[in-house]
Amino acid sequence: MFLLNLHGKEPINEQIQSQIIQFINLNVLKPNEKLPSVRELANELGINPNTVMKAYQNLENEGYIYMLSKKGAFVSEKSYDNQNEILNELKTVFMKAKDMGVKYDEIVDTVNEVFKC
Amino acid sequence: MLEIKDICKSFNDKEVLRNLSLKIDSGRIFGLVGINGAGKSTLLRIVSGVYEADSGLVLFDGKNTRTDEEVRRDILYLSDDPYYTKTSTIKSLKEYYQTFYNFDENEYYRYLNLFKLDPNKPLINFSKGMKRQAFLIFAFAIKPKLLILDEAFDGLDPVVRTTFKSLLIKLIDENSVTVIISSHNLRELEDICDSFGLLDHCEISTSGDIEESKEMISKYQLAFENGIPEEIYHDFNILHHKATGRVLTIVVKGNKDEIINRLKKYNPLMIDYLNVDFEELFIYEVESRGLNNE
Repeated sequence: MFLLNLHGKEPINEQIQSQIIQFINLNVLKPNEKLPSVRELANELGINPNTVMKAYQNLENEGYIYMLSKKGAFVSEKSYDNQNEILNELKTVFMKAKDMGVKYDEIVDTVNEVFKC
Repeated sequence: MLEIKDICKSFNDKEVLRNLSLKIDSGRIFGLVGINGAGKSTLLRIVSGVYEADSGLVLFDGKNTRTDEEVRRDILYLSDDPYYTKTSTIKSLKEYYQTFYNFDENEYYRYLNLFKLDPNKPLINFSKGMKRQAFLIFAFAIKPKLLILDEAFDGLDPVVRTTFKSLLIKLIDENSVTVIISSHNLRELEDICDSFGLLDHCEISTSGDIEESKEMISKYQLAFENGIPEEIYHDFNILHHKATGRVLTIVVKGNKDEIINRLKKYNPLMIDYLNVDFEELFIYEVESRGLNNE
């Protein structure tokens, strides 16, 4: 399920965390969807279950997932607070761009680029 | 140059090598890999003239390695478990080897001192690593044109291995030796070899430059909104695949840019890719050939 570079510089748990966050943001993993169990994932990737556990715990601390004892790990509901926050940030950046003379069409093109892939 | 031509070998009714052909240019460090029991040692023993093939021949610099005595003096085969007797010492083995090979006495004493081995102590009392060191001393003293190391480094501790590796590289550098190493430690082979051959199901199924071969295979990760499209499995040369939920991970052989362009046509939510290392290349090639043969 994840592409891991086992011999690179980035710690494995961080690689898993960032890929899960990416999946959540792209709707590849949907709210309340069950993630693979720690043992399943460790087995599939050929890594220590503690590494997977660390990744899941970090994600839980950051609010991306929640864990239910004996049931497993699940994707959290989308936090609209987080989304509103980032929309506000975008607004600020757009105002800045507008002040600098960036054209409306250029901004639309950039948005399209991001949402295309 | 080493030319292996159409070698066939069976033991009783079991076919081990079938029409096996391979060319290795001089000065190359060639890694021979394959699963346990694939026939690597058999092939290497045929190359060095120890075994006789059922048919086919091996030429080193144009001479037959089974019959030409002169060329055999330029070939040294070191197995992972070389033969010696209960009373063999480094000194007695050296005398034995010297009846056939030319020894550089200076190099012999140099490495004897470097490894701090007692030439009069019976080899049977040496540790595994020390035994290997003893035979490596012979390799360095003989300086053969073709050196065959059959799992000669496997099972040694990291310190000893690092020493061996650098000495081996030095030997190759100074004497333009052609080396064939068979090993299960692919990560290590990846470091020192420039070319490789995978022995699988009685033949060399894949061979070539290690870096080039790694570039031809990549791992891709894709996600789809509405489930994984079936056609993808038939559209690509897939060596390995795993689907979990909306995510598909595939290992594909071919040009990366071309493959990514073709994958985009399926409108995935995302595409990501990662290069494979030598060990993964081995596993995926063997796995996919295993499936095809069943």
